[in-house]
Amino acid sequence: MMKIVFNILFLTLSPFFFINSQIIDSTEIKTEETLDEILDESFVEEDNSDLYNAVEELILNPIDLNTADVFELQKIPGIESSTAEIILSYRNRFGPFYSVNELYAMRELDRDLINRIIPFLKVDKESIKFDSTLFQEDFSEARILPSDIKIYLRSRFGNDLQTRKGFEDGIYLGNKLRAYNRLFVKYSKQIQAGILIDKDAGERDIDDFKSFHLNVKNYGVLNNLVLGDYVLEFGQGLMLWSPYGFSKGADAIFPVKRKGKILKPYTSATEYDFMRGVAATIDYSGFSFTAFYSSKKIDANVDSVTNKITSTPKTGLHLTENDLMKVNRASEKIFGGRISYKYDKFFNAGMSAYQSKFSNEFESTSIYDLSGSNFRYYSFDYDVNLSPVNIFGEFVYNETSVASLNGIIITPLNNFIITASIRSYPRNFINLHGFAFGEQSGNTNNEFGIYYGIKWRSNFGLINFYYDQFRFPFETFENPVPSSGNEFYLSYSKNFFNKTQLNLRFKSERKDVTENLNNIKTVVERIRNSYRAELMYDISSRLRMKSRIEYNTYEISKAEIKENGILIFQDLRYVISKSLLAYGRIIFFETDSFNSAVYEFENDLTGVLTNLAMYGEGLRWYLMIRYKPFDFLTLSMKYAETYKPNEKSLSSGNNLIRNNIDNRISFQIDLAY
Amino acid sequence: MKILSTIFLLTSFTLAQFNPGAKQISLSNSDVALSNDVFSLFNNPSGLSQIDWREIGIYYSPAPFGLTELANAYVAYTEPFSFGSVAIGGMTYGFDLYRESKIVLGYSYNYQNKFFAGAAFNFHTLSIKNYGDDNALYFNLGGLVYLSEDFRLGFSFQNINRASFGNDDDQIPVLLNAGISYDLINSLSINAAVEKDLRYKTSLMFGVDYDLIEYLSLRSGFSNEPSKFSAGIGINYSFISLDYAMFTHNDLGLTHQVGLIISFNKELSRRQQIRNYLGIK
Repeated sequence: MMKIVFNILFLTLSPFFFINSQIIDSTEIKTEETLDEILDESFVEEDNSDLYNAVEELILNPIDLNTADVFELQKIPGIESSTAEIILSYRNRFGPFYSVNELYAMRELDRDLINRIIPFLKVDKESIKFDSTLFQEDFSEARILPSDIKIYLRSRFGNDLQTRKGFEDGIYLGNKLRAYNRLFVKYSKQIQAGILIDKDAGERDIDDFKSFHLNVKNYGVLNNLVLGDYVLEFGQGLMLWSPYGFSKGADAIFPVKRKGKILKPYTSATEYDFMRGVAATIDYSGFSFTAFYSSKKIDANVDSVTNKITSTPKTGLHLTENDLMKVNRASEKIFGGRISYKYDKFFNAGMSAYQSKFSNEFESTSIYDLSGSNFRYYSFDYDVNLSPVNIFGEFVYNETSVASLNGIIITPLNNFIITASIRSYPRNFINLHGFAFGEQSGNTNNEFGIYYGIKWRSNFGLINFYYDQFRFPFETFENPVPSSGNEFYLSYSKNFFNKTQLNLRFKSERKDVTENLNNIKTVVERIRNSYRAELMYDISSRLRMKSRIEYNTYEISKAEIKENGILIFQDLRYVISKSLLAYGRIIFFETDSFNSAVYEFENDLTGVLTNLAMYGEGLRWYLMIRYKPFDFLTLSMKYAETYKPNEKSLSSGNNLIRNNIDNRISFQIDLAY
Repeated sequence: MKILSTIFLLTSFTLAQFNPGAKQISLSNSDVALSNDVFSLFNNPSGLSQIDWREIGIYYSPAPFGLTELANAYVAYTEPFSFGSVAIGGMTYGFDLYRESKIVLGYSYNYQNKFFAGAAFNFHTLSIKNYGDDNALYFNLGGLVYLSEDFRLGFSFQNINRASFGNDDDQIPVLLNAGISYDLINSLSINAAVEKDLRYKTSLMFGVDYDLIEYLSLRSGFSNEPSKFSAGIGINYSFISLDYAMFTHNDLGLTHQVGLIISFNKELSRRQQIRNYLGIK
């Protein structure tokens, strides 16, 4: 009896005992480092927080090495079908894993690669777990919270210190505060309930965006059930995908093949392109069945005379009276299903279909645009694994045309991977809820492209390179005539000395753009080159320095435009103590205009990732502190400031700041209990 | 109208055709430092003396960019002698209004199984109906060096005497092609090359040649000027290799071509037989 009491004491106090037992923020640091490997600053300013969440989710829900199959393992960045097969053949030969560290025993796998994938893996030790049955018998009613319940709360607040024009003139209805609150309650790994509310700066209500889900997993034949908000990820994302996905980036192989999660609860704050209703997946001996229903109000501009939808804005910003008029003006009902079949490690194919019905018809401006209010899609996707060759693809039919993506990944050696993929998205294929690989950030319309990539972990360093050729067979938003372009990427990284890593990168993009030459709109070639050198140095296990210099050129030779830009930054990550971490960065930039802007990702509060454009002349700096006083609590704070000495005002339109400083402070609380 | 546009295409693409060999094209012609089959005669003749067996190849591209008028065919034959390899080949291109043909005689010398030097003599004729004929004689030079057992350097000059048709200069491409080839493993080589044609921008070319199994080769590559992708497969069975290649030009679309190579007295795979011959373990 004495011993039991002692045990309980120990258990309740254990969070305090173990405060300093782990390096702070391991999840955050691993997420950041993984994203560093996959993402690359594109030539567009964008918010990639959803991708951050996607990787974070993978780390928080690691894949069990003893039950995973070839297709599941490939969801982990860095694991291709051949690597997955090596791991599985080891498991078949030597029996179940006892620890993820057993991976180091596999000679076929590169040590660097193993370090990279271990955060995504686990070994469930059901048998070795602390024997808790004893307590349940004696003290079950004494416990306030069953130990199986876990609570995750993330609460984030931010405020711009400068007042933008929209607030000064009273155009924006709400105040400047940004607020994001998310609560997950998990019960014994099988049940999760979540609620999320989000308010952007200038929005009136703290719960401008609300999301809720209830998720039940692995209950008998029921693989997955979601009530509330969810997303569907099928095949290569040509038909159905979450509102975000990886695009061409620093890793030449990983983004090419999509690895769909089929069904998952919606946990992000992007306010469009998710489903609201109910969906379930049932697994039965190799077969998997999914059915879903969704009914959701959407923002739309509706013509008051014809009562037709003229556009569906997808920003999720409800700042002005004008914005509020569009809120929930239309609705969409979706139902559909999917059947897929998995054969051992060789074969995984699925057929899916859905129908979408809008409350109003679409107003079409050209014969290729959406018209009517009823849409149907049918898709077939496959993933065939014939080591060392992996073939995958998807075909979608929308009752007028067929869009397709087909790709191949060849792994002749474990450290040498080649991939090629062909995508064809016809002009009259308009998809409502896809996000596929391509040049137009997910849009599967009016594009034909071929991608070719190689990743080589050679003895003399890591080489990633890709070449992507794309064509827009019909006019686009930018160009009144068909246009084309290509993109070339080459990066090299090497650990020269112990703890010193050098990264070199060259990127070149050629694209047709429209310019006014002698008052005549002409399609001309635009060339953007970007040269980057980066040095990362671990001064000690606590202090990491990162220096970067990047030079961009922007050239339209026919229009005699030639601009360039340069960016230099110094970055520091300092683990002050095991519960306190500080990030800081100072960025100097000088570019001729927005055209030659240099882009950079920066460390932000957990769950936020933005690719910011630095242009003009000035400097930006930020400081972020993450403090973990207890194992279950993380507090973080960030202050960021952009200063452009030669400007009188920053930004434009309603976002105009009548000052040359743009600064913001944000706080976040993460609670995991 | 079609004739007009065809003539336009002919004059702009004509003499800038791609060198033959379905394998070469599936590697986007990045193979200057690989040059290990009979079609090397047309690009880098020095590679011929890597081959210690007799070989015949035919190649056909039925409709480049979808135009049968641009159809072209090549044939080549090589014979190894103690003093080096001698090869002869021919080409025909065009249709009844416009026709080009070429006869090529090549020689390649193997110095200590490490250095290879070659030369080719081209006799090229052109005839345009109702306009008349012309012909030209020009020379190609090439070299190939094994820097190590798995790393090669190659180069070739084409039309070094700057022969041309008619009164205009440089109607026949004058170009330099230099590159490297690296055997990552026995069954895979990576090729990269740059090509500068006197009249065009420098082109970067890249290709990977991979023998998935003894009987099946997979190849792919790309080049940037013009922007194109290529891919192909090769089926190697007994003394026959059947190769298929396709490439896509960003503006002009797809082109398909096939080639057949018959090798005499070749017992092992192409790479292995060459390695044995050159004394590479």
